[in-house]
Order: sequence, then C-alpha cells, then structure tokens
Amino acid sequence: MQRCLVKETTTLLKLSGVQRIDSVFFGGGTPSLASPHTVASVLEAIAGTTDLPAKAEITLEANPTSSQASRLAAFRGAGVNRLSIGIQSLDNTELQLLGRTHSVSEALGTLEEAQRLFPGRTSVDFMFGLPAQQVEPWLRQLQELLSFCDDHVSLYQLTLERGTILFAHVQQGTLPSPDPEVAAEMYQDGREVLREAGFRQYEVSNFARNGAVSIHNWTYWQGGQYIGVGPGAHGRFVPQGDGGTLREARIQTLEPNNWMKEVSMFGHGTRKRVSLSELELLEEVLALGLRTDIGITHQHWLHFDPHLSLWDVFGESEEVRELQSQGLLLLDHNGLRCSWEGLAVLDTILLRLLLQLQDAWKNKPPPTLKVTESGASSQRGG
Amino acid sequence: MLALVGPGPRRRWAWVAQAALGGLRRRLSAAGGASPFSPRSEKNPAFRVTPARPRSTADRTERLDMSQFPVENIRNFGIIAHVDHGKSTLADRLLELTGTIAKTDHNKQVLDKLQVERERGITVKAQTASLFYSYGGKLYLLNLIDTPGHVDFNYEVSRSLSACQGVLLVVDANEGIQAQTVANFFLAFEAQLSIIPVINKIDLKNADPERVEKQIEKMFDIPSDECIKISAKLGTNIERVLQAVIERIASPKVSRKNPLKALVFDSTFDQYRGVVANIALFNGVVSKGDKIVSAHTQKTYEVNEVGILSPDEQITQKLYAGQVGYLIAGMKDVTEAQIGDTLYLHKQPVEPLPGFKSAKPMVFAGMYPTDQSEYNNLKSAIEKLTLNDSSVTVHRDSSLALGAGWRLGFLGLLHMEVFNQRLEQEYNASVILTTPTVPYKAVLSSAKLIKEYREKEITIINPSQFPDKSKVAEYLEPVVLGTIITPDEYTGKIMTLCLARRAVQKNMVFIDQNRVMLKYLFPLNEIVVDFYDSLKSLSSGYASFDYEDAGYQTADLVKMDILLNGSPVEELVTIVHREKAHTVGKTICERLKDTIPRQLFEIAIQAAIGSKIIARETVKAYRKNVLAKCYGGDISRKMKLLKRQAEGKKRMRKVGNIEVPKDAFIKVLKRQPDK
Repeated sequence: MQRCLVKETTTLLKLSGVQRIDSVFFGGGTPSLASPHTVASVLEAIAGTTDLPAKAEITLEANPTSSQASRLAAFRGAGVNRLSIGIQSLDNTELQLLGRTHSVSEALGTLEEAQRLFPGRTSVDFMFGLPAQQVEPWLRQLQELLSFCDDHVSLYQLTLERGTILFAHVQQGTLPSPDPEVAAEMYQDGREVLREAGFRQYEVSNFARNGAVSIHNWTYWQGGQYIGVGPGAHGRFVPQGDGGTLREARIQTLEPNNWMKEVSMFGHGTRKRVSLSELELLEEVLALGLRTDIGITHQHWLHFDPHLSLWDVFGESEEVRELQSQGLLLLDHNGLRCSWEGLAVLDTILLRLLLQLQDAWKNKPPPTLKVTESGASSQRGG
Repeated sequence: MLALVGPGPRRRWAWVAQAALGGLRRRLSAAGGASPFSPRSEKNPAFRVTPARPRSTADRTERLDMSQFPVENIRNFGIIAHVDHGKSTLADRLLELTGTIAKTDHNKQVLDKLQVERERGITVKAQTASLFYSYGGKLYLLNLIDTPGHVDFNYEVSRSLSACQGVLLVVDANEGIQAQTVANFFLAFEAQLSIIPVINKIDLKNADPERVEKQIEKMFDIPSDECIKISAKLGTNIERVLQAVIERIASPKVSRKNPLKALVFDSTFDQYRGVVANIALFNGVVSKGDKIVSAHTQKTYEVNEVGILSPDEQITQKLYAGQVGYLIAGMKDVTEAQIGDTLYLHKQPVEPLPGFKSAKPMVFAGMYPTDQSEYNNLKSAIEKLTLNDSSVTVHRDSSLALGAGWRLGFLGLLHMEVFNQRLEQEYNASVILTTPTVPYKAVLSSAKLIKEYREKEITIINPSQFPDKSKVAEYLEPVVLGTIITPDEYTGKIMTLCLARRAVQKNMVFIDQNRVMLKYLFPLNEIVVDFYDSLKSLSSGYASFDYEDAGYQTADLVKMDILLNGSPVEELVTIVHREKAHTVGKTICERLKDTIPRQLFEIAIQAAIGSKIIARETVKAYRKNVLAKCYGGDISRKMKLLKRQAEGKKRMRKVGNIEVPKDAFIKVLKRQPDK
C-alpha cells in the first residue's frame, strides 16, 4: 500500500506539472491507522518530485482514541504539522449512537496531547442536529469544548446516512428523525457562541481564530487545483504533463486491491476522468467560493474568466437584487458574497445564481481569441 | 338455432363494460331521468363483432327469414339487479339453455372482457340476445334486451326497458333488496312492465329466500308466491324462469302493417362499418335498402344491413314489428344514433317515441396528460373512447400548472372512473384527473345581462367562469335523490353523515325487521368526492347507495380564492357552498402547506372569499439550507445535486415571487385517493 501511495503520488504530480505543493491532507477513512512511516514516505515523494516548502500545511485526520494519541509524536516526526480530530460530541451516549469507538475522556486526552504537539494547529470536528438532541444541552457541550480546544473548530450538521446505527434507529422509529428547526437553531446559536469566543467563520462549517485557517480546505473553496491520491480519492487538475488544457475531475479506483493493481501496472489508479468545461469550472468557482466569508472577489473571478465579470453575470439580475434586498447576498466593489444570514441558506441562493450564470454564459458574446483563452485556462490554478 | 358456434367464422365477442361496478362506491351515479345519455361503449351491453375478423361469404348469404316469428310468439324482456346479485350469470344460463351459446364450464361471465370489468368486478349487464325456445309446442323468440345495471345510466335503462314488456328482477337470497334493486324496480314499475322477481343464489349457506320474499312483498307489493328461487350458478330452476317469461310477460303490442317505428336503445361504433345501432321495432318492417330517417337529427340514411344478435350478429332479410336486432346504415358517428332516438321510413314520418333526451353530463373533471409530451397520444385515446361514448363531453382547457388538457363531462362518478380506467389500461395513458365538480347555474339578475349572455340561466362548468354576485339573482346547484339501504344499527351514523353533507331527509322505511331504507335529497357536489367511501366505512360495507337526478335547488354559493402571499392562484379557484367554505378552504391550505417547499421567506397560504380570509396556513422560511461538508471529494456530488435542483426550479410555477412545484397543484387538484 505504502509503495503504491508513493508511486501514485509521483505519477500524478508529474502529470499535473505543478511547480509547488502548498498543503497536504491525510484524510478520509482512518488515515491515522496508517503508519507514520507511510506518511513520511509520501511526503518525501512529493518533495522529491516538486517543491514542498517547509511551511506547507501537512494535516492528518485522527480519531481521538488513546492508541492514536500515543502515536501523534511519531506523526509529527514524519512531517505532520496540523491535526484534525473527530471529537464529534462530549456526550458518551451520543458518541455511541454515532458509532464512535472513543469515549469523551479519550477525546479530551487526545485533544490535550495534540495541543501540546501542534499548538495553534489542532482542529476539532463537532457535530449537531442529532436525533432528539436539544439546543441548550448542545450549547453547553460547545461551551465546554471551547474551554479545551485550540484555534480551529469545524461544526457539522449530522446527515443521516444509510447503513449507520442512527439511520437504523430512525427507520425503526426508536429515535425521532432530526428536527431541522432545532438544527437551524443550533447552527445559529453555535455560530454566535464561536464568534463571541473570537472565532472567524471563514466557511459554512469552519471557524478559526488567530489566523488558524486551514490552507488546504481554503484551496478547495477558492477553486484551486488538487491531486487526489489513494483508493477512491478525488482530484481536480489540468493534466499539463499530458498536454491537457482543461481541468479534469478525476476519481481513483475505490476498491483498494484493484487500485493497487492498477497503480502497479500504470503508475496510477485513475478510474474516471471528466473534463470540466469552462462553464462547469465557473459553476464550481461560484458554488464553492460563496461558502467562504470573503466570497468571490472580482479579481478571483476574473482569474477564471477574464471576459465575463461578476457584474456582467449578476449586475442586472432581478433575482440578485431581490436577494440583496432580503439581506442575504452582497454584490459590491469587493465582489459577491453571502451575508451572515445568507450563508445559512446558501444552497437555496445558489440555485438562483447558477441559473443566472448559465443564462449569462449562453448570452456571452462569442470568443474572438479562442487560443488565448485556452492558454489562460491552462495557467489557472497553477 | 341460430347461435352457430361451429360453421361460419367464430368471432371473438368484444363486450363492453357494463354499468354495474362492484363495490358500493361504484353505484354512485349522476344520471337519473334528467341525465340521458347517448351510446357509449362501457354501458353498452351489446356483443360486438371484432372488426378484425372478416365476415365469411356464408354469413353474408345465409340470411334468416324472421317473418316466421309472429308477434304473439315474441317476448321482449330485460334483467335488472343490484351489483353482484347474479345478473350476468343468469344471462349465461339462459343463453346456454336455449342453445344460444355452447354449455361449458367456462361460461362464467365470459363476457367480462375488459380489464376494467374484471378488476372492478363490474357485472356485465345481460347482453342483448335473441333466444329461441320451444314451449308448449311453439317456438318462441325471446329477446333478452340489455339494460345497463347502473343508474349512472338510468336513462339508458329506461330506454332499454321501453323496448321490453317485462323484466326479471334478480335479488340475492343472502343480501336481499339493495339500493339499486329499488331504483331498478321503480324504473320498471313506472314503465308498467311485468316484473318477475327472481331470488338468486339460493345455494349459498346464508341464503334466506323466505326473508327476501317478504322484503319483495313489503317493498314492491308482489305476492311472495310469484318469486322464482334459483341458483344461476348451479343452473337450478332456470327453465322455470324461461317459462315465466313466456307465461307472465305479454307479447309486444305492435303491428307489421303500420309504418316503421324503431327505437334505438343502444349503439356502438365499428371502425370499418360505422355505427351499429341496436333497435327494437315498434311497428312495421325494415330491410336492407330501405331509406330511414332519424327523428332527432332528421338525417336520412340507406340501410346496409339488418340482423339479430344471437349474440353474434346474424344477418337477416328483414326485421319485423316486435323484434329486436341491429341495423347498419352508414352512420359515421355515435351521435347520429343516440339512445332513445326513433327511426322511421323516409317520407313516412311517425310520432317519435317519447322520452328522448340528449346526454347531459353531471360531473366534470379536468384531465391532463401527466407529461405534456403525451398530449397528442392522450388526445387520440380520448377521441377513440368517445367514438363509442358520445355522452362524454370534451372541452379543451388549459391550466398554468397542468398544461394543456380537457374538461370532460360525465354522466356520473362511475362513468368518470370507468372512462379514466379505460384510458389508462387500454391506451396506456397516464393522466391527472382533477377533483370532480358539478355544473352549477347562475340566474342572471337583469335583462341587460341576459341579453349579454344570451340566456337567463348560465351553467358554470369551470370555476373561473363563476359570475360575480352583483350579476346574479340566485345561484343553483344540482341535487339528487339518494337511496340508502342499510342494516338499522348504522342508521344513526348514516343520518349524521348525511346531515354533514347538507342532505335533507325525505323518507325512512323499514324494509324488514332490521333493514332500513333512507331517502335523502343531496346536493350533488356533496357526494361526488368521497361520500360513498365514508358511507361504506361507517357501515362496515353493509350500506348500499344509489341516486337519481332531482333537478336544481337554490344554493348560497361563493367563489373561493387561494392566495399565496396575497397573489391568487388561478387554478385553485373553487366554487363552494358558503357553509362549507371554511372546511374546504382549510383542507386546500393544509394540502398546499405540505407540498410547497420552504423558501427564503415565509409564505402565507390563505383561502379567501372576496377580501375575507377564511383559512390560513404558513410555510416558514428556510433557516438553514446549506450542505455542511464540502471538500474535495464532495464537490462533484454537490454540483450534480445543485444542478438537478436548478433544473427542477426551472419547472416551478411562480405565483408572485413564490416558487411552487407543479406537484403541489397536482396534489391539491387531483382526486384524493380513497380513504
């Protein structure tokens, strides 16, 4: 596995032709089960292929079990400099419902150890909107968490997924389905609590203070390129090494054994490649950028399409005007962004904006310099 | 015998569904004396020849001489019964016994060919068939004339009966007299026919023929010794029935010497031969080549073919007074051979038979293709079905929510259901049927308005045509006289239900120790949607119901608007009785609340009469609608979801600034499923 990860990393990096890697995220599943050695090998492979600056953000996703806590130092030795811990809840019953194997005390222990090793660079995931969960007790948990945690918090509303214990409970009626009103209340109150504690909500679910923003995730929301390595990983980059000019959405083979076979044979296990059209790329830039507090700046947008400004797309839109008058959206000299209230209902807002963008794209004057445009697209996100 | 199964081409019998649908709700009907109707296939009893099979030459040449049956050897009779009391089984036995069809084990409602009949347990009405039976040394021609079993088709029944001199009134030995038995009895009684009570299913374990005899004696004043107790299923006592037909029913009072006078009592459409009219000859003779005139349309036709039904069509040279058969005369459309019409010879006009009426729809509903791309297919399917059923009225209509469609008028609920089901099953059409409405009327208040509308009373079929109160002296609503027969333990509950439906009690009689017959005058719109279901559920299925047209009555009608944040929704305008406005408005608001998705702002759903709000529901604004996690691996999925929703958004109907999925309207407008 380790050999294959290294091999795929090298192959895809070369294919992308990128000059520099700014962040690495070991996540998905339980990456902390992998050995610190594997992490080190992958990082070495990256550094050997392209530029990996010393200040690059290297995050590891970890479960807060005691066995993991003891390995954190080794991971730090391997090059990890940021930790994301799936605390989820400070209530043992809730943790059980969520199918978590750790206890509250293990979680707090791991958190303490992490902050010692990665001061200012430890993030915690915290969940809300569980079945039967009430606003007040949850807010007390959040306050408690704040007394322990570092400078980064991710707040996630539970989504019931098939195959989980919770889903089965709700199906059988032993637990009520989560109340969206209650969850909305928790979200608003939680954001408020975090703001008062000095956190900046820099994205729908992410809060940071003292500048502890996750560079890696920020890149997603800014429409940056990324390479996905490992079974089932997703990536988005222009395969410049192959002479490609359009960004591709790429998915690696999901099943580990098949993935390894493919990597051994071809150097990578890419199962699916879909070229993103210019419009599709813009749609992603829009949908992702609006998740952030600064939204989409004019400069940022023009980077993706120098010929169709935000003003061109949204300036005349009745729907945008309506959203602005409702205090949900702002379009000004900085760019396009959601208000505090708007962020909570972004998905509804996005539907209107996407249709508006598609409309504007249809009516866009025909390009006169096709060659220049594709040249520009190949340089994007480098 | 004429019912040749062997020689000659054996044709498949295409039966058409008959009126009597299984299940009580199907007994609802809107017809009655004032809602006549014209030929339509599903109520049309006749056996029809499948056009796909060509007729053989032998058939063409072997013409029967019907002159050998003088009037005194002819009996014309029908069979009437409540649903499932065994009408078609008795008909099967009569056909077998007279050799009209071969006797096999398979003659079990063999004529129920349509899927709709089989599924609903619709009893095929007795077919029109000429039976030949020797009795007392004479050969008799017994014409079994089809009568639709359902009072939706009341007018047809009355027309069919007018060609008869007697009827077999079949009553189930277990269930006894039911609502439809009563309705049918009175039709026959009013037509002054001989009535032979036949108590069927005496083989059943719970059969109590003596009790049924007493009911018949009490309700119909027929001595109990006149009842014939049979089991049509086992063939018990069937000969007695045939003998009673000959002994107790008079031969028709007609003459061959008088000029032709023929009653059209049914008609069907054959795509190769045009209209096939079933006729009964009151006077005279008709043969191929005769020029005939329709008293109703005054159109002249040349007769191409005449014959009897046995039950296949058998060409004859002529048909004589007192006989029953079919006639083909180049009529292109069933509206040219409407039920109840009189035919006579060109230049020999006769007084038309009384009682002819054109079809008058009593229940209207919007019909739309589920998918607008299916519009043309649905159009063609409706055209084909109405070819055999001119009583369905078709008006093009369109709705912002449902697209292009039609407003169809039916004789009754059963008629509507059968039509809809046939569209779906035989033409594979997927339709949205809106909640049925009834034809209201408005009496205009001034001479000026009367001049403008060119009539004093206007009929309102579509709620959007509802004239303002200022123009109207009074509004009228159709009413029906309903008959309910129930075990007496349910009487209290049923009376409460009827009261809630604005019904006025007219009569209440015990038909035996523990069965009650209730008569109520109902506003038609109170029973068109779910009355039957309610009746059935509160009586554990024991109560039966039937109704007949009873004209119009003054009604305090109002137009109710549905508003979304103050903007009226055109397709949801409803005409309601003032007393019911709150209940109806509340129900619509609640249904909308369940189907309109949350939006970025609060939505007030209101029902209003004029400027007065009578019901309100609120859809709260979205407080949170954003996917929590969106990282590298989630982006494709997220974009796909967003784009699909954006596509869906394009198909929303905008009312004010509110986006309403078309589904929401469909859920409100559509007939609600049975509760």
